[in-house]
Amino acid sequence: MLFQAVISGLAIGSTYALTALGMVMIYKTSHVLNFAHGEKAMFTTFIAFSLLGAPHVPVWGAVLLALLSAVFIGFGVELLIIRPARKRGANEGTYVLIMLGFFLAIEGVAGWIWGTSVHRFPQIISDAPIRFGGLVISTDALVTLLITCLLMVVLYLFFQFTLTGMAMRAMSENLDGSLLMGIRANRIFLAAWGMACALGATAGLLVVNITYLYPGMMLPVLLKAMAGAILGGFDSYPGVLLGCLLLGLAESLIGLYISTELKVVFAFLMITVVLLVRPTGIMGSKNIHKV
Amino acid sequence: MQTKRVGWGLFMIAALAVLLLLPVRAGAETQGVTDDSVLVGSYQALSGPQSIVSLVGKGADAYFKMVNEKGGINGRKINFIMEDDQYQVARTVAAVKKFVERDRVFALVGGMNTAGVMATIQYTEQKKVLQITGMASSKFLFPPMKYGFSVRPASYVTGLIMANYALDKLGAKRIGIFYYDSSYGLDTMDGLMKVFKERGVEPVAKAAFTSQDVEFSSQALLLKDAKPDTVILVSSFRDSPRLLTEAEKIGFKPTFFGITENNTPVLLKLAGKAAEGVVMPSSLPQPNSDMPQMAEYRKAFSQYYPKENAFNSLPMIGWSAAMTFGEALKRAGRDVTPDKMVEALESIKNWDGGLAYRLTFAPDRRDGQRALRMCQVKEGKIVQIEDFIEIDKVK
Amino acid sequence: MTSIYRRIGWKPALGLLLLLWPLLTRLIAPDVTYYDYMVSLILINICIAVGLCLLMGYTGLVSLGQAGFVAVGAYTAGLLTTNYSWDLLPALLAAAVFSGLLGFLLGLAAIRLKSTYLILVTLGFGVSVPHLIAMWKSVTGGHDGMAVNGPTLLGLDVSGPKKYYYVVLVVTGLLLWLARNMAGSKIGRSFQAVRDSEAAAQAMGINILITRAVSFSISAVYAGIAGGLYAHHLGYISPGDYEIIISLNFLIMVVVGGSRSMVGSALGAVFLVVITELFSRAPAGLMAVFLGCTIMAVMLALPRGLASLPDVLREWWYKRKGEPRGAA
Repeated sequence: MLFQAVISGLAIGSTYALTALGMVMIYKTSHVLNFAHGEKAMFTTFIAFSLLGAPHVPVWGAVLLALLSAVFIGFGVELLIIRPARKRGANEGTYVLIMLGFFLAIEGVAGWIWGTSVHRFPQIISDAPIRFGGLVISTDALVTLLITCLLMVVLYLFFQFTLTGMAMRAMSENLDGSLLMGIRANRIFLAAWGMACALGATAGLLVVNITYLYPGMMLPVLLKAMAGAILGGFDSYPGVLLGCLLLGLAESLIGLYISTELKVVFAFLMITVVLLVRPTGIMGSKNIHKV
Repeated sequence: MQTKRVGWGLFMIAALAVLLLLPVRAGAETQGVTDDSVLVGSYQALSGPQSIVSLVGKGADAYFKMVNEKGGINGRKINFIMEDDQYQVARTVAAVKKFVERDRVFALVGGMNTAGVMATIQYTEQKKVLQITGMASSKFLFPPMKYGFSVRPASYVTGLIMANYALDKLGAKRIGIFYYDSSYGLDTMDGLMKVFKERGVEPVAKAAFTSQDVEFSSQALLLKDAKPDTVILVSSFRDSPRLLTEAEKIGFKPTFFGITENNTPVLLKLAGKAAEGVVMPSSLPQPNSDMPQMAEYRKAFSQYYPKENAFNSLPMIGWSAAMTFGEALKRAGRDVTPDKMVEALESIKNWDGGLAYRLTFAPDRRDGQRALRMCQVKEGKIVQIEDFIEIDKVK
Repeated sequence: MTSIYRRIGWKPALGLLLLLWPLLTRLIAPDVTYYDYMVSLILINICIAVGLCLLMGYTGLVSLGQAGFVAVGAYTAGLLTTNYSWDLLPALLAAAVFSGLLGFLLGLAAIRLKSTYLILVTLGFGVSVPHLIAMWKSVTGGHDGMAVNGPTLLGLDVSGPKKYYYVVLVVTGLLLWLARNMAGSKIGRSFQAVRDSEAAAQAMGINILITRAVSFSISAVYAGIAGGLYAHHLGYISPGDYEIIISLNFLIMVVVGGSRSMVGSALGAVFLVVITELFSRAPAGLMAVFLGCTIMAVMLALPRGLASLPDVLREWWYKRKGEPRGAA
């Protein structure tokens, strides 16, 4: 039973990690703590849902269109909201508030368009259980885990070997220096936001099988994702993965062996303790910015 | 000097707010009742995390709109206003004060939030404003209020009925309980445990969950480990599916016995095959039944709220509460006052209003329904397996 | 006209209005307690907002857990007056002490952690408090909550909207006066020093650790006292009123109003409560969209909050006219 709990914990942890990836990408490039990340994912998942409900739309078409819409939403947010804020010299706290505002607005619009009922999202990836040696994991959980790891590798390659990726790294380390070197910051920002929102959309599409589809579906997930990301080090991608997996594991084990009601409290307590010992998270770097 | 300007600005805003918020409607003889209308208010979580419960208010609204189209009751149309309180007591209190003092409503229909209702009930009792709710909370129902009624079976009563049914008809020997750490969850637990204690049965496992939980793998494992033959699901149609699918995945197959909040086709949609065999009671008729009142409900609700799902127990509860109010209004006659309404409600005995089954009120009884019928999911459909089981005494 | 209002200022006018408010409402709308209730609610929220302003605007720390301190204060005071028949004054003091202590402890955690991580810890606190309160069913009444006794102050019964209004008014006035004094005093300056430059502050002999913890503690005290007032204002305490969403509300109040200015934060409190009431019968989601867009617009156009609006307008006006600034 312990091993089953471990498997389940890792499965849910990878869901948190996938959600956190997009958030961390935006934080690293624009230093914006994007509270609305989950809501955007929810929104694009609803878009996919509507498309799948329409006749003559193939599954992969709907998914692709949803991802594309996520990219455009990302572009839109960066162009229309973040860029003007940056021009006026916003600091991190301002961005937090702006994204909070965006969060409220999106949730309101989603509720208005699609109502408050809970929907079942059509199963794109089967949820048939895979059994091995007395343990079981559902297919879509395994797929989530695999996709998350795959994305980590892809991101690594992206940041190491592509120009855009290297530019993003440069900008997150030293913005002024990068500008001096001729990096077109605006384009990179656009790219980052587009990519991050696409990542978020992917997370939404996979999370929806666990949470079911309704406007408030992403908030508890987002909070856990943030917690896990901070545990692992908010500015390190491997750290995010590690932190979220650890969080999922801890929740699963605490729920099983200590108390199911206190899962959340214990998880936060654990994270606080770790942070007191290691303030930048397990794998974070030393330069954390002040709000 | 910035602060002085800001100060005047503050003052202006305050003055403006005062002017905007001030209009008070002239009072009628009986508050809320005019020659051709009755004013009814409702506080609902129209937005926020609990907004799905606002379907109750929408169900009530659909009923009132339908009744108005048919000419109203005793020559009066019913004006129904909903206000958003987001399930926060501060806003519920504000809403109720507005309803009672400014709008001067006659009654409040459709309250669902225990904290909100309990915080305002003393006030409405004092002001003689009827509250006809969908409340299932023991705090509200026992001991009964004068002007506070509910059309939904108390969670405690549900617990009593279910515990006995599990032991007698489902042959349960080893019982596990999965419950939502919440008001109705704990009330139901009280009912269940009372019967279990009386009959000398100790549940082999209890697993709770909270609103912050995203999935229930630990709970499923905990329950499976205790090897129960029956698991009682004290959770709603939103959360039970997650446990059901998790249980199916890990090969855990007890008899699942869910509370009334599960009995809706939405459960089947969300849980799929994992819902097969689940037993659950219902206080309402099947949403897709042929009964004329049901058809009337479906038609009206889909007409006024096309985006929402009519096949859900929540709007039906609201409709039921509104219908009960309407019936009492009819019985009270043209000359209606709050006390006359109480008399009219207390005259309702074993009344079958279609969506409201066997409602009985009495001076010492404000929970109208103490009967549940049993259903089971068979081949993807919810089928009745046992007719209404009713209990008389509660404590 | 200008010179008269300059000399007297706006505060007396506002103060007079607030003092006479229950009498005015009795004249205009005799049976209605709603307006007294609402202004009391606004005043309570102002206390919390101002406390948070000291933490955020002056010391530069972000807290997403203020509602947790409000809850602690509300339950402490509410349980003492209801279960132990305490008078309101000692109950409020107990609430203040208890929240202050908790705030101090949380503040100590703020030392090691920077920004984003501090947000997480306060977030965790904010999420845990209502949860733990609900779990402690035997004492707190659990999820359903419990009714709170009508309060007595120094033996006098002060329950009822009009009498209680004055209690709230006096307490709020006191807290605001204290805050104003603190801001201008050594403590206030040390807060700002820590916010602006830790290195410089340390060089001047300010203990960063203690300063931060004290700042947290003070904002917690404000929240706790406000919570105690709040519990008796509603006459009911339940964990649902202190969820994380409420903490976000306080954050919005302070930042939209203007985190650097206490008047601004108070303005933010008024703004949020009024908007919430105005939209309470609007179609679902409309308020969220309006609030969201307003927040974004304000943060984009007025990064220093609504309180900076007069300054911004004046600068714009003088730019147009080409006159030197500050000539008015």
